[in-house]
Order: sequence, then structure tokens, then C-alpha cells
Amino acid sequence: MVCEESVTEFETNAVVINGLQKSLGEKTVINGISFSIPHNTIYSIIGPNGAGKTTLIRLILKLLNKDEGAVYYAHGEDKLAALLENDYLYETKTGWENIMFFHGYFNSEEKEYIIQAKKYVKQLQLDTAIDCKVATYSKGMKRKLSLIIVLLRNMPVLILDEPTSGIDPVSRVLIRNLLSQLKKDGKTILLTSHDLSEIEKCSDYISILKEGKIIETFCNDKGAIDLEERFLKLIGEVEVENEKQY
Amino acid sequence: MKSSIKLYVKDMIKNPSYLFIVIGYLCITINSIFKVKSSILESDMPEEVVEFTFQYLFFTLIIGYFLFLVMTGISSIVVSDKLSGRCEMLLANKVSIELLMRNYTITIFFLCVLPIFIYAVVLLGIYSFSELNEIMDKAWNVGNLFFVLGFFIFSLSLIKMIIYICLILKRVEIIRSILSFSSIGFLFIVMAPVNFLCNQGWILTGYALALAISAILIVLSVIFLLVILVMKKNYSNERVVLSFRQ
Repeated sequence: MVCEESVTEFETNAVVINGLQKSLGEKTVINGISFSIPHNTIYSIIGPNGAGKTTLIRLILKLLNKDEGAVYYAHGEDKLAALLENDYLYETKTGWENIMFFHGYFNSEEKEYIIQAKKYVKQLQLDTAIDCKVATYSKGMKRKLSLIIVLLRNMPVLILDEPTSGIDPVSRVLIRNLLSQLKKDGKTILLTSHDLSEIEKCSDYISILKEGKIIETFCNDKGAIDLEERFLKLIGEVEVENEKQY
Repeated sequence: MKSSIKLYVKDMIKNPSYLFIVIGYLCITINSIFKVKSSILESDMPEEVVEFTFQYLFFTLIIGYFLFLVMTGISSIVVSDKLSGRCEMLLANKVSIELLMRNYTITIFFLCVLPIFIYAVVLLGIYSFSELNEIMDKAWNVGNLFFVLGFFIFSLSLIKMIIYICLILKRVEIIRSILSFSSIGFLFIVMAPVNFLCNQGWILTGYALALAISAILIVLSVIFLLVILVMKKNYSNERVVLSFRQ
């Protein structure tokens, strides 16, 4: 039975997380997290190392079983595409062979798949390297290729764990532009990242995770707040010096 | 998903380890058979012993070949996918674990059975078109059909069981060592009852030998299937994913 409240939630939110709890061994890694990801937004989760970002992602993707709580998906739990922290490419194959290999797992019409793949490859400036073996790629190029393969699934919800990890500034701009375009195309994107400047530039909403709990969620008024200062104050790790002293 | 199986197979066919096993084993064992044939036929062994030797050799070589191919296939496909994070990526992108298992099983089964079929034909050809053709007349019996059936069930159940184990084993670095040693171990286990009977003075030949080996293979298959059933109850994305983390 679907109650009126739930229907309303799904009208506004692509993913709803409610009271999620997870322990690994004796440690409570996720401690009663609740938040909602509105449709057609870029929602970012930031936090220090060990805060539980990756575990949270895995819970949302059902790679881990929750101890308590629930995750609701407006489009259905199969309509997610995920880019995980590690690249998973075949080093001995070329970039294009990798793209076509994963097509074998993700059922889609081949012609359309190839057209879309060529578009993303050009957009992320991998066209000159796409026929080279992945073993010759830099970390940034591998990350871009991994992202392309995930995007080609053409799912309404994208979950990206550290998408700009190890990427040069030019590529970061390309990925940021691509994410903005995907948002305009109606996608909902959940990001985790350590790169606060990137988060600041592209996110609509930001949640700060610390020790398995969300300590703050806010609407990101791009440029209006110093995210780094706010983040460091909230997690209480470093006393931020008054800028005037410099 | 059939295209992913085709791609795995295409990859493996170009894999140096696999080609080495396929061609190397064929050349070395066939050379050995010719040498054994010359020395045994020149000796004064009773016909029964000669018959047993060559039939035993035939079954041992087939099973040994299969075990080496399985271990190579699993190491190159399953272990490689696990270590690279591809398994986790596929699970995160809603490829079910059952589908993954099925793809691996079908791929490895095909990669093992095809060379074995060719190998069996070559061996039978050597036996038929030589002084061993009289042995072959006795060896052509219904028992061999039981061997084919037993071997078929044994191969599928062994492949599936090893894949299950590989995907949940935490210490990935020992998988490859276990696989290498277990190929010899399994061969010993399969032939041990026949060896025991020989030592007691009961030399099985023809129909009896084929039936005995088939029975051993089927008993082992039942054990493997029971192991699979037990593991399947607790099998989940979480078990596979958490085994990635050391």
C-alpha cells in the first residue's frame, strides 16, 4: 500500500534514504542516516576519511545489506548506474574495446550505444587515445573512460564515487560540464568527493558526513559560502585561521 | 549477455597462459604416449595390464587436461575480474550475481570442453591407428558413454563450485596458488580408488574401468553440488563485496 506521503516524496525525490544503519564487525559505520535526493539535482556527500561515504554508496546500491532503515527509489532500484572508487578496466584492451565489452553486460541497442559512446568520448577528449591500450592511459584518462562506460547505461540516477579522483584540472572542467549537461537532460546525480572546490562548483545540495552521521545538509548557493571553511569547522578537525592575519 | 560470454571466450583464446596449456599439454602428453607405447609394447606385460595402462592413461590425461584448463580459465577470468574490481562494478550496476556466475560457468566450461574434445579425438586416433587398435576395440563400449556423462556433470559442478569459492574468498593472493595445486590434487582424488584396487590386485579394464571412473566422478559431483547448495544459502552481494577488502 502506498500512502499519500510516499507518493509525494517520490514526486519530488529520486531517492529517499530513511534511518539507514550499518555495522561492519563491531563498528557502526552508518548510524541512522536519513536524507532525500531531489529529482534532477546534483547532490553531494562530503566527509573526512572513514566517515562512511563509500559504505553509504554501497548501501544505496545494495552491495551491502542494511541492518536497519530503508532506501526508496522513485525510478526503481534497478535504474541506477554507478561509478565506484576503483577503475575496473581491462588494461590489455583498448579504450574502445573496453566500452564494447561492457556493452555485452548492459543490454542496450548497439547502434545507439555506439553513437552515444562516440559523443561522450569526444566530449571528454579521449578521442585520440580511445584506440590505445588502457595500460598506456594516465589515471585521469582511465577515470574518464570508466565514467563513460557507466554513463552509457543511460540510467535516470547516477551514483559517482570520487569521479574526479586523480584527474587534472582540464579534465575536471570537462567532467563538471558533462555533469551539468546530464542534469539538464533530467538525470539525478549523487556524488561523493574529497575535492571541495569541485563540489562547490557543481552541487545543488551538499551533505556533510562524519562518523556515520549526517551533521549538516544545505542548499549550495554556489560561491556564496566557503565550503572548505564550513566543512572544517563542522567536522571540528582544524581550527581555521582568520584570513586577515595573512 | 551472450555477447559478454563471446567476448570472454575471444579474450581467453588469445591469452598466452591458456594457449600454453592447450598446445603445451597436447604436445607433451602425446609425445609421452608414443614413448610409453613403444616401451610397453616391447615389454612382456600381460595383455590385461597393457589394456589397463592405456585406458588408464587415456582417462587420466583427459581429466588432468581438464583440470589444468579449468584452473587457467578461473585464474584468468574470475580471479582477474575480482582483483580488478570488475565484479564489484558489475554488481553495483545491477548485473545479478546469478548472471555473473552463469556467464563465468558457461565461458569456462566451453573453454575447457572444446580442447578436451579435440584432445580425446587425437588420443583415440593415436590408439586406433597403431598397434593399440586391439585395445581400442575392447575400449569402445557403453562404459565410455557413462564416462562422458560423469565427466560432463563433474566438470560443470567443479567449475561452479570453484567460482563460488573464488568470489567469496578474502585472501585473493592465495587463490592462484590453491588453483595450481588443486589441479594435481583433484587428479589424485579421482584416480585414487582405481589405484587402490590395482594395488589390491584387481586390474579394471574396458567397461569396468570406465564405469569405476564415471562413478567416482559422479560421487565427487554430488559432493560439489552439496557444497554449492550450502554456499548458495548465504551467498549475497555483501559477501562478495566484503571479500574484496583485505
